[in-house]
Amino acid sequence: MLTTPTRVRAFSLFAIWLLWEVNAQIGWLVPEVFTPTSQILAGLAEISTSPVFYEHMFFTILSTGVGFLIAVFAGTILGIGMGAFRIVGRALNPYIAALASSPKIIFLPVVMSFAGWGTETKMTMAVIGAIFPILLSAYAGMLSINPVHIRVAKSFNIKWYDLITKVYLPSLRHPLLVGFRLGFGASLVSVVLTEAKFGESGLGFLAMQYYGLYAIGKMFSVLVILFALAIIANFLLDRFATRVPH
Amino acid sequence: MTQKKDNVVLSVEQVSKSFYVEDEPPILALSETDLEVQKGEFVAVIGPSGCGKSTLFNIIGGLIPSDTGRIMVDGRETNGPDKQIGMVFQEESTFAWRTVEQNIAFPLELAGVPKAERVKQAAHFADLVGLSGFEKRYPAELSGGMRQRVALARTLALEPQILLMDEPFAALDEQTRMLLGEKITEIREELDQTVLLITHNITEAVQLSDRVAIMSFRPGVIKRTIDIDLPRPRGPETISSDKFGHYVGEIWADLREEAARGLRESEKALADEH
Repeated sequence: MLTTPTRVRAFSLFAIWLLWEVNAQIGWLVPEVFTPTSQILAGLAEISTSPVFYEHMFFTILSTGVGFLIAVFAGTILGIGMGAFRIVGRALNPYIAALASSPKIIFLPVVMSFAGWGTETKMTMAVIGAIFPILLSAYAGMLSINPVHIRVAKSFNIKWYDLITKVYLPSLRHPLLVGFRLGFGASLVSVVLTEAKFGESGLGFLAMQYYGLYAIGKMFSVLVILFALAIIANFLLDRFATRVPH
Repeated sequence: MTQKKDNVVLSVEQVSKSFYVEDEPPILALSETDLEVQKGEFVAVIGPSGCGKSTLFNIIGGLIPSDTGRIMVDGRETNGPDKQIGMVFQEESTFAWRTVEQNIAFPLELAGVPKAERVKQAAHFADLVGLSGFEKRYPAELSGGMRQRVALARTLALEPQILLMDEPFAALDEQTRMLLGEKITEIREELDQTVLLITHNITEAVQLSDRVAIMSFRPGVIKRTIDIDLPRPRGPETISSDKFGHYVGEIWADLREEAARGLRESEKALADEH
Protein backbone atom coordinates (compact mmCIF):
# COMPACT_ATOMS: atom_id res chain seq x y z
CA MET A 1 0.00 0.00 0.00
CA LEU A 2 2.62 2.55 1.07
CA THR A 3 4.84 1.75 -1.87
CA THR A 4 5.49 5.15 -3.43
CA PRO A 5 6.51 8.46 -1.87
CA THR A 6 3.27 9.99 -3.12
CA ARG A 7 1.21 7.37 -1.32
CA VAL A 8 3.18 7.76 1.89
CA ARG A 9 2.73 11.51 1.61
CA ALA A 10 -1.02 11.24 1.01
CA PHE A 11 -1.42 8.72 3.80
CA SER A 12 0.49 10.76 6.38
CA LEU A 13 -1.50 13.87 5.50
CA PHE A 14 -4.70 11.91 5.87
CA ALA A 15 -3.56 10.42 9.21
CA ILE A 16 -2.70 13.83 10.63
CA TRP A 17 -6.01 15.23 9.46
CA LEU A 18 -7.85 12.28 11.04
CA LEU A 19 -6.05 12.69 14.39
CA TRP A 20 -6.74 16.40 14.32
CA GLU A 21 -10.39 15.98 13.48
CA VAL A 22 -11.02 13.20 16.02
CA ASN A 23 -9.32 15.30 18.69
CA ALA A 24 -11.42 18.33 17.76
CA GLN A 25 -14.66 16.32 17.83
CA ILE A 26 -14.11 14.58 21.18
CA GLY A 27 -12.52 17.74 22.63
CA TRP A 28 -9.63 15.92 24.25
CA LEU A 29 -6.56 18.14 23.78
CA VAL A 30 -7.09 21.95 24.02
CA PRO A 31 -10.22 21.96 21.84
CA GLU A 32 -10.23 25.77 21.92
CA VAL A 33 -7.08 25.79 19.78
CA PHE A 34 -7.30 22.60 17.75
CA THR A 35 -10.48 23.65 16.06
CA PRO A 36 -12.35 21.39 13.59
CA THR A 37 -11.05 21.52 10.02
CA SER A 38 -14.45 22.66 8.83
CA GLN A 39 -13.86 25.90 10.71
CA ILE A 40 -10.42 26.32 9.14
CA LEU A 41 -11.96 25.77 5.70
CA ALA A 42 -14.68 28.28 6.51
CA GLY A 43 -11.97 30.72 7.60
CA LEU A 44 -10.11 30.16 4.36
CA ALA A 45 -13.25 30.77 2.35
CA GLU A 46 -13.90 33.95 4.24
CA ILE A 47 -10.46 35.52 4.12
CA SER A 48 -9.94 34.57 0.48
CA THR A 49 -12.83 36.86 -0.46
CA SER A 50 -11.50 39.85 1.48
CA PRO A 51 -9.23 42.26 -0.41
CA VAL A 52 -7.46 43.17 2.84
CA PHE A 53 -6.14 39.64 3.07
CA TYR A 54 -4.52 39.89 -0.38
CA GLU A 55 -2.94 43.14 0.62
CA HIS A 56 -1.38 41.49 3.66
CA MET A 57 -0.23 38.53 1.60
CA PHE A 58 1.27 40.86 -0.98
CA PHE A 59 3.38 42.58 1.70
CA THR A 60 4.63 39.29 3.09
CA ILE A 61 5.55 37.98 -0.35
CA LEU A 62 7.17 41.26 -1.33
CA SER A 63 9.30 41.54 1.82
CA THR A 64 10.33 37.91 1.73
CA GLY A 65 11.03 37.86 -2.00
CA VAL A 66 13.07 41.05 -2.17
CA GLY A 67 14.99 40.20 1.01
CA PHE A 68 15.68 36.69 -0.21
CA LEU A 69 16.92 37.88 -3.60
CA ILE A 70 19.26 40.42 -2.01
CA ALA A 71 20.56 37.66 0.28
CA VAL A 72 21.05 35.33 -2.72
CA PHE A 73 23.32 37.84 -4.44
CA ALA A 74 25.13 39.14 -1.39
CA GLY A 75 25.49 35.72 0.26
CA THR A 76 26.81 34.07 -2.89
CA ILE A 77 29.32 36.84 -3.54
CA LEU A 78 30.52 36.96 0.08
CA GLY A 79 30.78 33.16 0.29
CA ILE A 80 32.81 33.01 -2.91
CA GLY A 81 35.00 35.86 -1.68
CA MET A 82 35.66 34.10 1.63
CA GLY A 83 36.51 30.90 -0.21
CA ALA A 84 38.70 32.58 -2.81
CA PHE A 85 40.68 34.55 -0.21
CA ARG A 86 41.39 31.82 2.30
CA ILE A 87 42.95 34.07 4.91
CA VAL A 88 39.93 36.36 5.00
CA GLY A 89 37.62 33.34 5.03
CA ARG A 90 39.38 31.66 7.89
CA ALA A 91 39.59 34.91 9.83
CA LEU A 92 35.89 35.74 9.49
CA ASN A 93 34.51 32.23 9.75
CA PRO A 94 34.06 32.12 13.58
CA TYR A 95 32.20 35.44 13.62
CA ILE A 96 29.92 34.38 10.83
CA ALA A 97 29.27 31.02 12.42
CA ALA A 98 28.38 32.80 15.67
CA LEU A 99 26.04 35.24 13.92
CA ALA A 100 24.52 32.45 11.87
CA SER A 101 23.49 30.44 14.90
CA SER A 102 22.14 33.34 16.94
CA PRO A 103 18.41 34.11 16.69
CA LYS A 104 18.01 36.83 14.09
CA ILE A 105 15.20 38.50 15.98
CA ILE A 106 17.82 40.15 18.23
CA PHE A 107 18.69 42.38 15.27
CA LEU A 108 15.13 43.68 15.05
CA PRO A 109 15.52 46.64 17.44
CA VAL A 110 18.67 47.74 15.63
CA VAL A 111 17.08 47.41 12.21
CA MET A 112 13.94 49.18 13.37
CA SER A 113 15.90 52.11 14.71
CA PHE A 114 17.25 52.60 11.19
CA ALA A 115 14.39 51.50 8.97
CA GLY A 116 11.30 52.15 11.05
CA TRP A 117 8.18 50.01 11.19
CA GLY A 118 7.55 49.38 7.56
CA THR A 119 8.39 47.06 4.72
CA GLU A 120 12.07 48.08 4.70
CA THR A 121 12.52 46.60 8.15
CA LYS A 122 10.91 43.35 7.08
CA MET A 123 13.07 43.18 3.95
CA THR A 124 16.18 43.81 6.01
CA MET A 125 15.14 41.09 8.44
CA ALA A 126 14.61 38.75 5.48
CA VAL A 127 18.12 39.52 4.24
CA ILE A 128 19.59 38.90 7.70
CA GLY A 129 17.68 35.62 7.94
CA ALA A 130 18.61 34.28 4.53
CA ILE A 131 22.15 35.51 4.07
CA PHE A 132 23.86 33.22 6.59
CA PRO A 133 22.77 29.83 5.26
CA ILE A 134 23.52 31.01 1.70
CA LEU A 135 26.90 32.48 2.60
CA LEU A 136 27.94 29.45 4.65
CA SER A 137 26.84 27.01 1.91
CA ALA A 138 28.77 28.97 -0.70
CA TYR A 139 31.83 29.09 1.54
CA ALA A 140 31.68 25.37 2.33
CA GLY A 141 31.24 24.70 -1.39
CA MET A 142 34.29 26.81 -2.19
CA LEU A 143 36.40 24.77 0.22
CA SER A 144 35.41 21.57 -1.54
CA ILE A 145 35.97 22.74 -5.12
CA ASN A 146 38.08 20.25 -7.01
CA PRO A 147 41.54 21.88 -7.02
CA VAL A 148 42.40 20.33 -10.39
CA HIS A 149 39.55 22.31 -11.97
CA ILE A 150 41.21 25.50 -10.82
CA ARG A 151 44.56 24.32 -12.19
CA VAL A 152 42.99 23.42 -15.55
CA ALA A 153 41.37 26.84 -15.69
CA LYS A 154 44.63 28.58 -14.79
CA SER A 155 46.54 26.57 -17.39
CA PHE A 156 44.21 28.20 -19.93
CA ASN A 157 45.07 31.61 -18.49
CA ILE A 158 41.52 32.17 -17.30
CA LYS A 159 40.40 35.69 -16.38
CA TRP A 160 39.05 36.19 -12.85
CA TYR A 161 35.47 36.81 -13.98
CA ASP A 162 35.49 33.69 -16.14
CA LEU A 163 36.87 31.75 -13.18
CA ILE A 164 33.89 32.89 -11.11
CA THR A 165 31.18 32.33 -13.72
CA LYS A 166 32.56 29.25 -15.48
CA VAL A 167 34.26 27.35 -12.64
CA TYR A 168 33.26 28.58 -9.17
CA LEU A 169 29.52 29.08 -9.72
CA PRO A 170 28.90 25.80 -11.56
CA SER A 171 31.00 23.96 -8.97
CA LEU A 172 28.84 25.47 -6.25
CA ARG A 173 25.52 24.55 -7.85
CA HIS A 174 24.55 21.87 -5.31
CA PRO A 175 25.62 23.59 -2.06
CA LEU A 176 24.08 26.85 -3.31
CA LEU A 177 20.72 25.21 -3.95
CA VAL A 178 20.74 23.83 -0.40
CA GLY A 179 21.68 27.29 0.86
CA PHE A 180 18.89 28.95 -1.15
CA ARG A 181 16.36 26.53 0.19
CA LEU A 182 17.40 27.00 3.81
CA GLY A 183 17.73 30.73 3.21
CA PHE A 184 14.24 31.08 1.82
CA GLY A 185 12.77 29.36 4.86
CA ALA A 186 14.79 31.61 7.15
CA SER A 187 13.72 34.78 5.35
CA LEU A 188 10.05 33.80 5.51
CA VAL A 189 10.42 33.07 9.23
CA SER A 190 12.12 36.43 9.82
CA VAL A 191 9.45 38.34 7.95
CA VAL A 192 6.49 36.62 9.59
CA LEU A 193 8.08 36.93 13.01
CA THR A 194 8.68 40.64 12.49
CA GLU A 195 5.11 41.07 11.31
CA ALA A 196 3.76 39.15 14.27
CA LYS A 197 5.85 41.09 16.78
CA PHE A 198 5.77 44.66 15.56
CA GLY A 199 4.24 44.90 12.10
CA GLU A 200 1.13 46.64 10.91
CA SER A 201 0.73 44.51 7.83
CA GLY A 202 1.51 41.05 6.46
CA LEU A 203 0.33 37.54 7.16
CA GLY A 204 2.15 37.32 10.50
CA PHE A 205 0.34 40.45 11.64
CA LEU A 206 -2.96 39.08 10.36
CA ALA A 207 -2.53 35.76 12.16
CA MET A 208 -1.79 37.55 15.42
CA GLN A 209 -4.76 39.81 14.91
CA TYR A 210 -7.10 36.84 14.43
CA TYR A 211 -5.54 35.21 17.45
CA GLY A 212 -6.22 38.35 19.48
CA LEU A 213 -9.82 38.31 18.27
CA TYR A 214 -9.96 34.65 19.15
CA ALA A 215 -10.87 33.77 15.55
CA ILE A 216 -8.95 30.50 15.67
CA GLY A 217 -10.36 29.14 12.40
CA LYS A 218 -9.17 32.22 10.53
CA MET A 219 -5.83 32.21 12.31
CA PHE A 220 -5.22 28.65 11.17
CA SER A 221 -6.30 29.50 7.65
CA VAL A 222 -3.57 32.17 7.55
CA LEU A 223 -1.08 29.54 8.68
CA VAL A 224 -2.31 27.22 5.95
CA ILE A 225 -1.68 29.96 3.41
CA LEU A 226 1.86 30.49 4.76
CA PHE A 227 2.43 26.77 4.54
CA ALA A 228 1.23 26.80 0.94
CA LEU A 229 3.53 29.73 0.11
CA ALA A 230 6.53 27.80 1.48
CA ILE A 231 5.55 24.75 -0.57
CA ILE A 232 5.21 26.81 -3.74
CA ALA A 233 8.60 28.46 -3.17
CA ASN A 234 10.23 25.07 -2.62
CA PHE A 235 8.57 23.75 -5.74
CA LEU A 236 9.96 26.66 -7.76
CA LEU A 237 13.46 26.06 -6.35
CA ASP A 238 13.11 22.37 -7.24
CA ARG A 239 12.13 23.25 -10.79
CA PHE A 240 15.24 25.40 -10.99
CA ALA A 241 17.34 22.58 -9.50
CA THR A 242 16.29 20.01 -12.10
CA ARG A 243 17.68 22.27 -14.81
CA VAL A 244 21.11 22.07 -13.17
CA PRO A 245 23.23 19.16 -14.48
CA HIS A 246 24.89 16.79 -12.02
CA MET B 1 72.69 13.96 -31.09
CA THR B 2 72.74 15.64 -34.44
CA GLN B 3 69.57 17.74 -34.32
CA LYS B 4 70.06 21.39 -35.01
CA LYS B 5 69.63 23.89 -32.23
CA ASP B 6 66.86 25.77 -34.03
CA ASN B 7 64.65 22.70 -33.84
CA VAL B 8 64.37 23.11 -30.10
CA VAL B 9 60.80 24.09 -29.31
CA LEU B 10 60.93 23.81 -25.54
CA SER B 11 63.90 24.30 -23.30
CA VAL B 12 64.16 24.18 -19.56
CA GLU B 13 67.21 26.16 -18.52
CA GLN B 14 68.83 25.89 -15.10
CA VAL B 15 65.53 25.66 -13.29
CA SER B 16 65.67 25.36 -9.49
CA LYS B 17 62.89 25.28 -6.96
CA SER B 18 62.86 24.92 -3.19
CA PHE B 19 59.89 24.42 -0.92
CA TYR B 20 59.83 25.86 2.55
CA VAL B 21 58.01 24.16 5.38
CA GLU B 22 57.89 25.91 8.73
CA ASP B 23 60.52 24.75 11.24
CA GLU B 24 62.13 22.42 8.72
CA PRO B 25 65.08 22.73 6.41
CA PRO B 26 63.96 23.75 2.89
CA ILE B 27 63.42 20.96 0.39
CA LEU B 28 65.33 21.44 -2.83
CA ALA B 29 62.91 19.89 -5.31
CA LEU B 30 64.72 20.89 -8.49
CA SER B 31 68.34 21.85 -8.81
CA GLU B 32 69.48 23.65 -11.97
CA THR B 33 67.56 21.30 -14.20
CA ASP B 34 68.08 21.43 -17.96
CA LEU B 35 65.98 19.77 -20.62
CA GLU B 36 65.47 20.36 -24.32
CA VAL B 37 62.66 19.07 -26.48
CA GLN B 38 62.89 19.10 -30.28
CA LYS B 39 59.97 19.92 -32.53
CA GLY B 40 57.82 16.84 -33.08
CA GLU B 41 59.70 14.87 -30.46
CA PHE B 42 58.07 12.68 -27.78
CA VAL B 43 60.05 12.94 -24.58
CA ALA B 44 59.25 11.19 -21.33
CA VAL B 45 60.59 12.41 -17.98
CA ILE B 46 60.74 9.50 -15.60
CA GLY B 47 61.60 9.54 -11.94
CA PRO B 48 60.74 8.07 -8.54
CA SER B 49 57.88 9.44 -6.43
CA GLY B 50 58.75 12.72 -4.81
CA CYS B 51 61.62 13.49 -7.19
CA GLY B 52 60.16 16.77 -8.34
CA LYS B 53 58.57 15.57 -11.59
CA SER B 54 55.30 17.28 -10.78
CA THR B 55 57.15 20.42 -9.72
CA LEU B 56 58.86 20.42 -13.11
CA PHE B 57 55.45 19.92 -14.77
CA ASN B 58 53.96 22.85 -12.88
CA ILE B 59 56.91 25.11 -13.62
CA ILE B 60 56.95 24.31 -17.34
CA GLY B 61 53.19 24.83 -17.44
CA GLY B 62 53.61 28.19 -15.69
CA LEU B 63 51.40 27.27 -12.72
CA ILE B 64 54.19 27.87 -10.22
CA PRO B 65 57.22 30.13 -10.62
CA SER B 66 60.74 28.75 -10.46
CA ASP B 67 63.36 30.18 -8.11
CA THR B 68 66.02 30.41 -10.79
CA GLY B 69 66.30 29.64 -14.49
CA ARG B 70 63.72 30.00 -17.23
CA ILE B 71 61.41 28.15 -19.59
CA MET B 72 61.79 28.97 -23.29
CA VAL B 73 59.15 28.18 -25.91
CA ASP B 74 60.22 28.73 -29.49
CA GLY B 75 63.08 30.88 -28.30
CA ARG B 76 60.84 33.12 -26.21
CA GLU B 77 60.79 33.14 -22.43
CA THR B 78 57.42 32.15 -20.92
CA ASN B 79 55.75 34.13 -18.22
CA GLY B 80 53.04 32.09 -16.52
CA PRO B 81 50.68 29.73 -18.36
CA ASP B 82 51.50 29.83 -22.06
CA LYS B 83 49.12 29.33 -24.95
CA GLN B 84 51.71 27.14 -26.66
CA ILE B 85 51.91 24.70 -23.76
CA GLY B 86 48.84 22.53 -23.26
CA MET B 87 48.63 20.75 -19.91
CA VAL B 88 46.94 17.42 -19.21
CA PHE B 89 46.63 16.56 -15.55
CA GLN B 90 46.89 13.32 -13.66
CA GLU B 91 43.62 13.71 -11.79
CA GLU B 92 40.16 13.41 -13.22
CA SER B 93 39.70 16.95 -14.49
CA THR B 94 36.65 17.10 -16.77
CA PHE B 95 33.93 19.54 -15.72
CA ALA B 96 30.98 17.45 -14.55
CA TRP B 97 28.49 20.21 -15.41
CA ARG B 98 29.57 20.44 -19.03
CA THR B 99 28.88 18.03 -21.85
CA VAL B 100 31.80 16.49 -23.74
CA GLU B 101 31.38 19.17 -26.38
CA GLN B 102 31.28 21.99 -23.83
CA ASN B 103 34.28 20.55 -22.02
CA ILE B 104 36.37 20.45 -25.18
CA ALA B 105 35.19 23.93 -26.16
CA PHE B 106 36.05 25.38 -22.73
CA PRO B 107 39.41 26.97 -23.69
CA LEU B 108 37.91 28.21 -26.97
CA GLU B 109 35.10 29.82 -25.02
CA LEU B 110 37.68 31.60 -22.82
CA ALA B 111 39.46 32.75 -25.98
CA GLY B 112 36.22 34.25 -27.30
CA VAL B 113 35.79 31.90 -30.27
CA PRO B 114 32.20 32.21 -31.64
CA LYS B 115 29.80 29.40 -30.75
CA ALA B 116 29.39 27.87 -34.21
CA GLU B 117 33.15 27.64 -34.62
CA ARG B 118 33.53 26.14 -31.12
CA VAL B 119 31.02 23.42 -31.86
CA LYS B 120 32.84 22.59 -35.08
CA GLN B 121 36.22 22.49 -33.38
CA ALA B 122 34.89 20.44 -30.46
CA ALA B 123 33.44 17.88 -32.88
CA HIS B 124 36.78 17.70 -34.68
CA PHE B 125 38.77 17.08 -31.49
CA ALA B 126 36.17 14.68 -30.09
CA ASP B 127 36.62 12.70 -33.28
CA LEU B 128 40.40 12.88 -32.98
CA VAL B 129 40.35 11.25 -29.52
CA GLY B 130 37.74 8.72 -30.65
CA LEU B 131 34.73 10.23 -28.92
CA SER B 132 32.60 11.00 -31.96
CA GLY B 133 28.94 10.57 -31.09
CA PHE B 134 29.48 11.35 -27.40
CA GLU B 135 29.46 15.14 -27.79
CA LYS B 136 26.21 15.63 -25.91
CA ARG B 137 27.03 13.29 -23.04
CA TYR B 138 28.09 14.36 -19.56
CA PRO B 139 31.36 13.04 -18.04
CA ALA B 140 29.38 11.01 -15.48
CA GLU B 141 28.05 8.94 -18.39
CA LEU B 142 31.55 8.06 -19.62
CA SER B 143 34.27 5.65 -18.45
CA GLY B 144 37.49 6.86 -16.81
CA GLY B 145 39.46 6.35 -20.02
CA MET B 146 36.91 8.31 -22.03
CA ARG B 147 36.94 11.15 -19.52
CA GLN B 148 40.72 11.36 -19.76
CA ARG B 149 40.38 11.55 -23.54
CA VAL B 150 37.91 14.43 -23.10
CA ALA B 151 40.55 16.19 -21.00
CA LEU B 152 43.12 15.51 -23.72
CA ALA B 153 40.83 16.86 -26.44
CA ARG B 154 40.12 19.94 -24.32
CA THR B 155 43.85 20.65 -24.11
CA LEU B 156 44.41 19.94 -27.81
CA ALA B 157 41.55 22.26 -28.79
CA LEU B 158 43.81 25.29 -28.39
CA GLU B 159 46.35 23.61 -30.69
CA PRO B 160 49.34 24.11 -28.40
CA GLN B 161 52.82 23.53 -29.82
CA ILE B 162 53.74 21.40 -26.84
CA LEU B 163 51.51 18.85 -25.16
CA LEU B 164 52.61 18.58 -21.53
CA MET B 165 51.17 15.63 -19.62
CA ASP B 166 51.58 14.66 -15.96
CA GLU B 167 50.93 10.93 -15.56
CA PRO B 168 47.73 11.21 -17.58
CA PHE B 169 47.07 7.48 -17.30
CA ALA B 170 47.71 7.18 -13.56
CA ALA B 171 44.06 6.76 -12.64
CA LEU B 172 43.37 4.14 -15.33
CA ASP B 173 43.66 0.37 -15.37
CA GLU B 174 46.58 -1.26 -17.18
CA GLN B 175 44.76 -2.20 -20.38
CA THR B 176 42.98 1.11 -20.76
CA ARG B 177 46.33 2.75 -20.16
CA MET B 178 48.01 0.76 -22.96
CA LEU B 179 45.22 1.55 -25.40
CA LEU B 180 45.20 5.21 -24.48
CA GLY B 181 48.96 5.23 -25.01
CA GLU B 182 48.43 3.92 -28.52
CA LYS B 183 45.77 6.56 -29.10
CA ILE B 184 48.15 9.30 -28.01
CA THR B 185 50.83 7.95 -30.36
CA GLU B 186 48.32 8.05 -33.22
CA ILE B 187 47.21 11.60 -32.41
CA ARG B 188 50.77 12.69 -32.06
CA GLU B 189 51.58 11.38 -35.53
CA GLU B 190 48.48 12.95 -37.04
CA LEU B 191 49.19 16.38 -35.58
CA ASP B 192 52.99 16.08 -35.60
CA GLN B 193 52.61 17.02 -31.96
CA THR B 194 55.55 17.68 -29.66
CA VAL B 195 54.91 15.85 -26.39
CA LEU B 196 56.51 15.99 -22.97
CA LEU B 197 55.20 13.22 -20.74
CA ILE B 198 55.89 13.04 -17.01
CA THR B 199 55.58 9.49 -15.73
CA HIS B 200 56.83 6.94 -13.23
CA ASN B 201 55.96 4.01 -15.46
CA ILE B 202 58.99 2.62 -17.30
CA THR B 203 57.11 0.49 -19.84
CA GLU B 204 54.90 3.44 -20.70
CA ALA B 205 57.92 5.70 -21.16
CA VAL B 206 59.66 3.20 -23.48
CA GLN B 207 56.48 2.37 -25.39
CA LEU B 208 55.67 5.99 -26.18
CA SER B 209 58.86 8.04 -26.32
CA ASP B 210 61.66 8.93 -28.67
CA ARG B 211 63.75 9.85 -25.67
CA VAL B 212 63.51 9.15 -21.96
CA ALA B 213 64.97 11.59 -19.43
CA ILE B 214 65.71 10.03 -16.05
CA MET B 215 65.35 12.25 -13.00
CA SER B 216 67.23 11.81 -9.76
CA PHE B 217 65.63 11.94 -6.32
CA ARG B 218 66.14 15.18 -4.39
CA PRO B 219 67.51 17.35 -5.59
CA GLY B 220 65.77 16.63 -8.88
CA VAL B 221 67.94 16.96 -11.95
CA ILE B 222 67.90 15.14 -15.27
CA LYS B 223 70.49 12.51 -14.58
CA ARG B 224 70.65 11.02 -18.03
CA THR B 225 68.63 10.77 -21.23
CA ILE B 226 68.26 7.61 -23.30
CA ASP B 227 67.23 7.59 -26.97
CA ILE B 228 64.64 4.92 -27.64
CA ASP B 229 65.48 3.53 -31.03
CA LEU B 230 62.47 1.30 -31.68
CA PRO B 231 60.32 1.13 -34.82
CA ARG B 232 56.83 2.63 -34.75
CA PRO B 233 54.04 1.76 -34.35
CA ARG B 234 55.04 -0.05 -31.20
CA GLY B 235 52.52 -2.85 -30.99
CA PRO B 236 52.67 -6.04 -28.93
CA GLU B 237 55.62 -7.43 -31.02
CA THR B 238 57.78 -4.44 -30.21
CA ILE B 239 56.84 -4.53 -26.54
CA SER B 240 57.76 -8.22 -26.31
CA SER B 241 61.06 -7.72 -28.18
CA ASP B 242 64.47 -8.09 -26.50
CA LYS B 243 65.39 -4.55 -27.38
CA PHE B 244 62.30 -3.20 -25.57
CA GLY B 245 63.16 -5.27 -22.53
CA HIS B 246 66.73 -4.07 -22.71
CA TYR B 247 65.60 -0.42 -22.56
CA VAL B 248 63.32 -1.14 -19.64
CA GLY B 249 66.17 -2.85 -17.81
CA GLU B 250 68.59 -0.05 -18.53
CA ILE B 251 66.21 2.59 -17.25
CA TRP B 252 65.35 0.56 -14.17
CA ALA B 253 69.03 0.11 -13.36
CA ASP B 254 69.38 3.88 -13.23
CA LEU B 255 66.08 4.53 -11.57
CA ARG B 256 66.43 1.82 -8.95
CA GLU B 257 69.06 3.71 -6.97
CA GLU B 258 66.96 6.86 -6.98
CA ALA B 259 63.76 5.08 -6.08
CA ALA B 260 65.48 3.22 -3.24
CA ARG B 261 66.89 6.45 -1.91
CA GLY B 262 63.47 8.10 -2.15
CA LEU B 263 61.87 5.23 -0.30
CA ARG B 264 64.53 5.30 2.45
CA GLU B 265 64.07 9.02 2.96
CA SER B 266 60.31 8.89 3.06
CA GLU B 267 60.43 6.01 5.55
CA LYS B 268 62.91 7.94 7.63
CA ALA B 269 60.64 10.99 7.57
CA LEU B 270 57.76 8.82 8.76
CA ALA B 271 59.92 7.34 11.52
CA ASP B 272 60.96 10.84 12.65
CA GLU B 273 57.34 11.84 13.04
CA HIS B 274 56.85 9.23 15.74
